[in-house]
Amino acid sequence: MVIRKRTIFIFLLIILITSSFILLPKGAKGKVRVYKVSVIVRGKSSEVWRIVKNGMEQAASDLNVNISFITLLEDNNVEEQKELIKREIMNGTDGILISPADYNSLSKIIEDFRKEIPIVLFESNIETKEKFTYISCDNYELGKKLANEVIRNGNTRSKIKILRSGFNISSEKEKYEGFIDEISLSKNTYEFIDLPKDEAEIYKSISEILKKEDTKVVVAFEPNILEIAGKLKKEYRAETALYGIGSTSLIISLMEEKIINAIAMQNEFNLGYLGIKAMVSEIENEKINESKITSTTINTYNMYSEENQKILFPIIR
Amino acid sequence: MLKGIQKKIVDYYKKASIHNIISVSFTIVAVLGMIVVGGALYLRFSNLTEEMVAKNNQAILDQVNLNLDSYLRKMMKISDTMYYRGIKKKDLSSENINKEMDILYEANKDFLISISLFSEHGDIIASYPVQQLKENIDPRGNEWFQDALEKSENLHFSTPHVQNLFYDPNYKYTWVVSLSRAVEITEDGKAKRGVLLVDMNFSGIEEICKNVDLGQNAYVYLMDGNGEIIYHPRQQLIYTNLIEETNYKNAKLEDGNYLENFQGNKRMINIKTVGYTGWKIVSVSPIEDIVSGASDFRAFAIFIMLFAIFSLISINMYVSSRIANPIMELEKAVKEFENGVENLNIPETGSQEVQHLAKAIKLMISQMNILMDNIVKEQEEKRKSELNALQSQINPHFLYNTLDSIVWMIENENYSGAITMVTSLARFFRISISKGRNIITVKDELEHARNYLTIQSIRYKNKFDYEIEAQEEALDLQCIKLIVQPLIENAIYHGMEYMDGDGNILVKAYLEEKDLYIDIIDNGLGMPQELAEELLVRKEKHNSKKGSGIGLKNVHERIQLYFGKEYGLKIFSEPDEGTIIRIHMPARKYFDNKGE
Repeated sequence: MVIRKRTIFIFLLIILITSSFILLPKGAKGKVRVYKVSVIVRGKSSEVWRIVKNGMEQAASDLNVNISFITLLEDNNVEEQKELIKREIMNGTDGILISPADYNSLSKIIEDFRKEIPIVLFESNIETKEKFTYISCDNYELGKKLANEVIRNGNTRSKIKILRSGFNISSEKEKYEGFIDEISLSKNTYEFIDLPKDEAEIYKSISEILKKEDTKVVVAFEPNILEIAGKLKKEYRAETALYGIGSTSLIISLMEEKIINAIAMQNEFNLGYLGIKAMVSEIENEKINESKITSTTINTYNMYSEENQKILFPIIR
Repeated sequence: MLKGIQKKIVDYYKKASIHNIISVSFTIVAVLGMIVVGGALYLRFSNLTEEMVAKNNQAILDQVNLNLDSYLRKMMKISDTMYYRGIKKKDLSSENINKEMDILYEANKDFLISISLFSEHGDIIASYPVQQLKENIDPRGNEWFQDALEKSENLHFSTPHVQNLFYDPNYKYTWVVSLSRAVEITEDGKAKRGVLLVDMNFSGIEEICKNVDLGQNAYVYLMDGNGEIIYHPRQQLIYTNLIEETNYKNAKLEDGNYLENFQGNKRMINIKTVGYTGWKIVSVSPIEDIVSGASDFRAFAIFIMLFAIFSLISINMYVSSRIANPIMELEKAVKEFENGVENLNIPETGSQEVQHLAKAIKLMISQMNILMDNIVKEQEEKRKSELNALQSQINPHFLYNTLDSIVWMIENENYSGAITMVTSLARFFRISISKGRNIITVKDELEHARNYLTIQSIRYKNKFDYEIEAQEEALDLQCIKLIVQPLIENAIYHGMEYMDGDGNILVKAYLEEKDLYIDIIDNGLGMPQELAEELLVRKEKHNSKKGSGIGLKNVHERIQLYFGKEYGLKIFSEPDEGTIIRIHMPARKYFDNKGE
């Protein structure tokens, strides 16, 4: 009897103590963990990444993340990215969100470092057998949409020149492929123009194309190339139609001036936002909700439509 | 089902110990009480919180509404001032309003993007601070322009849009809310229609809505009457479909307080319509936030309740054991008493009542024991006195006959015979009396028997012979007084009376297997063995007139009374052969210590 009483007593005491542990700390919720996340893009500090960055900043404030947004000194410089990855890991970042500048040559270093800290890929991919979280729109689809826009604007038997740079970047490649696959369905002809690395050379190269009367359509897949082409077209008052991908203020303004006919763009704000969200999920080892990022084409006429305004000019607070 | 449970409970209560009944009942009552009181308090508290939050939100919204209203009025005032103090007073063909515009803009430039005046045809008449209209732009296509001209008496606030009218060298695009109105402009003395546009930036509205302190995850957003969002803290996320808001649904609701289920979460919605514009301010507070305080409170309440229950159970257990344990111990002791355990130790612990009870039981038991002892003693005494009475009751016939014989002897001058007779008689009586002792030695008993036999053999004129044998070691042993004589008397009366000189009586005392035996053997008439055995059992008949009056059965009982049931008499008899009466007693040494 005495023993039973004692067991009951001890049992109750244990319940009391455990319940106090479970119930009482709830009152004082632990501090919110702030993650340090390094974002390494594959381009120079330019307006190209503006909206992406906006999205990331919004996510950062929503999810308590400290972002260091790192741009390169030169577009798509693989070595620089490698150095930056190492540097950021040394600096004790909690995770790296990277847009790889090369499909193949960054695979090993990213795979290796992923063993140490979470790495999430966004915008462009690497060649890997491992399962990486990859946040991007369907770039192939984006290319197709742009091609469609070109055709819809009356180009049925036109000669199209595609300004090609960033040869070994997955997203760029996919966009080309999507564009070509779609354009091949029409009677348009196309030709790749491989651009040199040096900026002055690029100007020269594009000028030549624009001056030639036989080219009806020029397509630039990278925003900075599109900007250059737009500026040159404006300067020469060239008749060539100009299409491209990306949306900087300059591109928008050129589109308004009808120098750039249409652009295709992914929802860059969402790209940035979801990139950071995926990063946090990766750090916290949670399941990642892979939501697709949409893409759209915008032309001179519909750029101020209610929908497109919201995509082109994100409201940032 | 319910009945079964009820029955079980009742059964439990019937069987349970007092300790369990007390502790379980007290605990159940206490716990129920705690839960009811705690639950009621908690419900009251959480309802109160919700009400308070709702009221608080309402108050905050009213404040926001007030601020927004005054802000919008300020904007309208700018428009009014521009119109009534500038445009109306001037003929725009000869004068310009740049100065007025300039002053007005500079005074309010924190909230303004631009002020501009358009002609009915969309031409720009004046504008500040930007002046150059973009080439491909026609203001007439814009909603604000059309609205202004359509309803010329009103001021029109547009939904947010990107202002794309003016050329900006930095390619800057700003989101604005446009305030437009139709104005009358005078050119060359003719009145014409125009549109005055005041573009406001968001900062004013944002300032009003952002710093509203509703709670951690609560926020305020602003929409127009159709549900188009004007301000939302996460506006871009809504624009790009990353999150959703119930703005279109809420636009249809009247002002007031609502609860809605949104993506699995309950939220409290407060709607307030802003005057003039028809805009609606909506505050959103997740219920989770509201009740998080309550849930902390709940956790604390549960903890306190658990603590109280724990303490109560402990106290109940202690108290009930204090009450019940003495009772149970007492009950245990009583049970032992029932089972006949002697020398009971009845505990006198516990409350005063129980102690009293224990004392009473103790007293009762001891009294009972005394009574029992007394009864036993009395019975024994009664028996003994009965026996003693019998012993002393020497048949007067025997005395008379003996004395008669002595007289007869003296008359016949047989003096030696008379002397023997008288001597034997004297010895006989001395031993009979033997200082009132009950136990004498075997030797004395046999002497007594010898004296009796001497007297009787003379009286019966040597009708029989007798012999007394005894083992030496048997002589000092204990013997109950007056047991041999009655047996001899029996043998003489029933066996010897009809024997003519060849009667023989043998008294033999011997030890066998450490017990003492005294046999009285006669060769008289004898009887059947069945009859012999019956003699010891049957009720005594007072038939003996001549004998000492002490029957066989009496002797037998006396022996058993003193020494136990295993001892006593045994009779072996056969008709015409004789009878053996065997006394069986334990061999105990005789100590002359007076008494039994």
